[in-house]
Amino acid sequence: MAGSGAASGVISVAAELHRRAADASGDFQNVEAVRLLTRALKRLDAGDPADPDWIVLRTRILISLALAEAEVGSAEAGFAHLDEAARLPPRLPDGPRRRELAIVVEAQRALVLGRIGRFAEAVKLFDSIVPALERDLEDNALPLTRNLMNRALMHVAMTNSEAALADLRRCLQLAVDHGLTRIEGKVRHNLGEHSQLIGDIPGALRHYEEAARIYRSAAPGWLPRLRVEQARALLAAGLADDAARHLDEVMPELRESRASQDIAEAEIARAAAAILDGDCGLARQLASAAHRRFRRRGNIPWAEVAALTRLRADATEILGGTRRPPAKLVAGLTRHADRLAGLGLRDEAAVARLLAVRLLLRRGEAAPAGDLLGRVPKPRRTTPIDHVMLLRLCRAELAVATGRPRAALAQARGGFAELSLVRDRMGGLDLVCGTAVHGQELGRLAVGLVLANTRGHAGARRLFAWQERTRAQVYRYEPLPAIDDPVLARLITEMRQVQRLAQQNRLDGKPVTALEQRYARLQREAGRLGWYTSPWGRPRPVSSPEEVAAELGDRVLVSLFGQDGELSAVTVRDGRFRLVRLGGLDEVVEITKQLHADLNALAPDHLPPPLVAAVTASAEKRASMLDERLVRPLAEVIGDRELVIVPTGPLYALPWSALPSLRGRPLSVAPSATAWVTAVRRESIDPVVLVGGPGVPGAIGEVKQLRSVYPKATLVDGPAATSSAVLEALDGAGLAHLVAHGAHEPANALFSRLELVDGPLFAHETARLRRPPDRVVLAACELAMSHIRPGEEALGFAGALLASGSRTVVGAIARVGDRAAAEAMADLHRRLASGTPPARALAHATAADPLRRPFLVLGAG
Amino acid sequence: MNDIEVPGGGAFPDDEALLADLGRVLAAVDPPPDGLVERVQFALELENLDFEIAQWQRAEPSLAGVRSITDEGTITFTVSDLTVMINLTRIGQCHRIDGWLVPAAPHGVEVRVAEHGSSATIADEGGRFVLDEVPRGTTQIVISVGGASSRRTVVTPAVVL
Repeated sequence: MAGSGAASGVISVAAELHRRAADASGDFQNVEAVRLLTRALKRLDAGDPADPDWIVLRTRILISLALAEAEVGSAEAGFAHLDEAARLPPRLPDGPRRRELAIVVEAQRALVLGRIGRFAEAVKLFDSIVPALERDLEDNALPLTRNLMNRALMHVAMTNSEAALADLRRCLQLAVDHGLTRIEGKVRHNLGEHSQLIGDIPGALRHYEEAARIYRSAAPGWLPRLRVEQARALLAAGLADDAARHLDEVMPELRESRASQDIAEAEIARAAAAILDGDCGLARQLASAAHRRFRRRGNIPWAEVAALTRLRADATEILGGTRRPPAKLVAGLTRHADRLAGLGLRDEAAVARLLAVRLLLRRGEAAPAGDLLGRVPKPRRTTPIDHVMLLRLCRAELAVATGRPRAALAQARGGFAELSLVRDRMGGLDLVCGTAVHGQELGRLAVGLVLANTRGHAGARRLFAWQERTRAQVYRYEPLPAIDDPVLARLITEMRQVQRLAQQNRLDGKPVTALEQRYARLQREAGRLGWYTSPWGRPRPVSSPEEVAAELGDRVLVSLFGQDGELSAVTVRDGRFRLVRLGGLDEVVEITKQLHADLNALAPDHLPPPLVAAVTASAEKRASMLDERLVRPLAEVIGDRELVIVPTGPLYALPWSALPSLRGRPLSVAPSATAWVTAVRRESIDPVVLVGGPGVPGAIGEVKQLRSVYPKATLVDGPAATSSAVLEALDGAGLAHLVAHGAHEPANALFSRLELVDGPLFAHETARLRRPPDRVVLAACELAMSHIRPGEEALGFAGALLASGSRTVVGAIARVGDRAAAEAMADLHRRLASGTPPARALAHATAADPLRRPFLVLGAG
Repeated sequence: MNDIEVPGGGAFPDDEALLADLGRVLAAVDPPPDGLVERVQFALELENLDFEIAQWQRAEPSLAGVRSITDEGTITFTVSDLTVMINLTRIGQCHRIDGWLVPAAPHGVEVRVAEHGSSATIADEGGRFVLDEVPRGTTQIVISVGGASSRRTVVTPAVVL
């Protein structure tokens, strides 16, 4: 019971000061907290030391003061307060309150030990507290969970991964059992950070997503902070676009809440995304803003990280150009590295030194570069993959600069092996694709090095092997069975409905902006869920040049690549490899874009004749120009053989069959020779499925006609052609022919879609079929188009099918007219049904009107 | 808001209040379209006021006869004897504009975007032109028939791209 009125007044004033101090330290204002707590103690001096409330409050104030003092740098003072606090609880009458208070003092001591880096002692203390709390589990669920979580953080700091994980799992169980929802969210958040630390990006993303689900309802204020972590994980996976979108979404919320630590961390992450995206100006701006914020907060380590980000932007810009790097920047990075090392930021210090090494090499100063590189320690198990790859790049560049090309290639090989291990663990096509960004420069260096020394057959063969090692690795996996995710399924269903509604509104001339925004939001959410925890698939080895040559038989393979603005091709014919230089890349890319636009413009069936004539003339001219530049130099090698073409970057949009000298030539396109070999070796199966989507005038006739070609085919059309019915019919089909409207989604290939009666069917969904159809014909617009990520990781609707196990996909790389498509398809299937292989059958079908039938075979011809 | 000015200020004070109320009601019930003033100003900035305006030929998407539901951004404008067709490709914050002029001739092509200035090119003999990295916004295409020195100018309506 409280004593006199004056005494209880003292208690309430002190309690109020304590509360304000807690707010201050919650906002990292620890100096202010110390001041308030000291005042609170002084106030208490006037109270009654025998009053249990006085004892409890004094203990709690001392506990808070200990942590605040430790935060502002005086841990010894903190421990003195804790020692004093420890003497207080014994003065209380025996009971749960006394035991609990004693434990709180020791828990705080452990936390302070952790804050000043004495993790082992902290863990030891936690080890003694935890059993005490466990004795009375029902009453102590909350403090037990909190202490376990803190112990886990200590284990993380000591890189005791197993122990940390054990504690976090236990916390999760406790939180779930006792309905501690917010704590459950926090634990999942921490589990995410733990996964990220050990390089398990899909695991991290999954935990973050689960935490987000909890935060959304139970603690929305913690959500923005979580989004920042999510963005960091995306950056590690190389998905700069997605990370940038995430951050742009949360920044306004963070600014509103004035959480300056979080804003500044978000700015750093956004700057990193900008650097990956090549926008160094934006990166500099963000990094400078973050730097100012951290300085104002007095957070020195983070301020130095912000300064490093700024320097990284500078260095990246210089390295991307041709200017000689200024000595000042090198000196700045070196100095900064020492500062970072002094703060114990080991990985960051390494990055600063590695950037300086690259700049020195660019300046032609190999000896100091070598010395500096010698000071960079070996990567640890938790070193992020981008740092590992940067180290490999530096070693390779140093080897080149000191005349040791073999050593450089060995470094590149080592780097790609490490990158492969990271990729193998990725879940979902998006993540598998994204990883390549970290190996981009190393790949360029290796291919450039081999290219410069390519002489004759052996050299070309070696070059080919390097191309295969560095391109389109996403096609190198045997997909593992999907795990059903009801949340994802629900989201996709909602996306379908929104898209369908938007489409109806568009036709009725009603506004669609709100629906489009909702769709974009759903797409982002569904995208996040597509990053699976389980690996996407079992990796298959890269095909060797000999394997490819053997599989080709009479065919000729043309593997295109651009290096330093020059386009070249490695050809494989009858086991012979040859390098053919094709001239300027930019010009070919520009003409390809123009031809692609011509074909899009030409597609509509009802285009007025004068426009048809003008666009046709333009397309023919551009097709001839490309023929001249691409096919003529290869004429001798390719003869009249069937072709397998591996495109590069923007040339994925090239309508090969429209080039005059390739008219009627059987050809297929593959993202890599390895992907082609894999496709060719897949076994084929029988059943035929015909699908007719809504709103295509020619669909009824086309499907009916195909019915006469394939009398036993399963027919899914009319109101029965829903996405679930179509997916079911596709699973395990031998040949699937789909007539529908199609749309390629340039920014997010996995959401490219085919319109069905209940809304779109997404590439995302076809990629998780148990047994994707052996051969697929997409009689729709654009669905053979690809979005090309760094590392030639090309993916689109057709690509997703191929990567998931389809042998052959026929699709359009531009818009197609309804009539033109129907006619081409009738021709194609007549030949397919009589046993003609797809490449040959399609060659005949497109030759009749190549500009209006821009179809390609992807995969096995 | 005082949208309605009373000439000479001769109205009774009550009338002015009434008219002001009326102005507010009108502004709420039938506001001028968003961006109308900007579009008028943008159109008036054209230096040569002696021009012909091409009409936008809107195609019914369901009748286009293409196996795509998304409007790929092909727009056609015509005036007496000249047709301009453009195809838009979105690249980041900008557009790439591929265009065709019928009948084909190397006319001058300028694209103006409100608050972003303009960029110009000359079509090839096939009437084909490309303008890269065009900022998005209220856009107008100006064709100098027979080259920049000619007197005949055709403009498209200002459209938000």
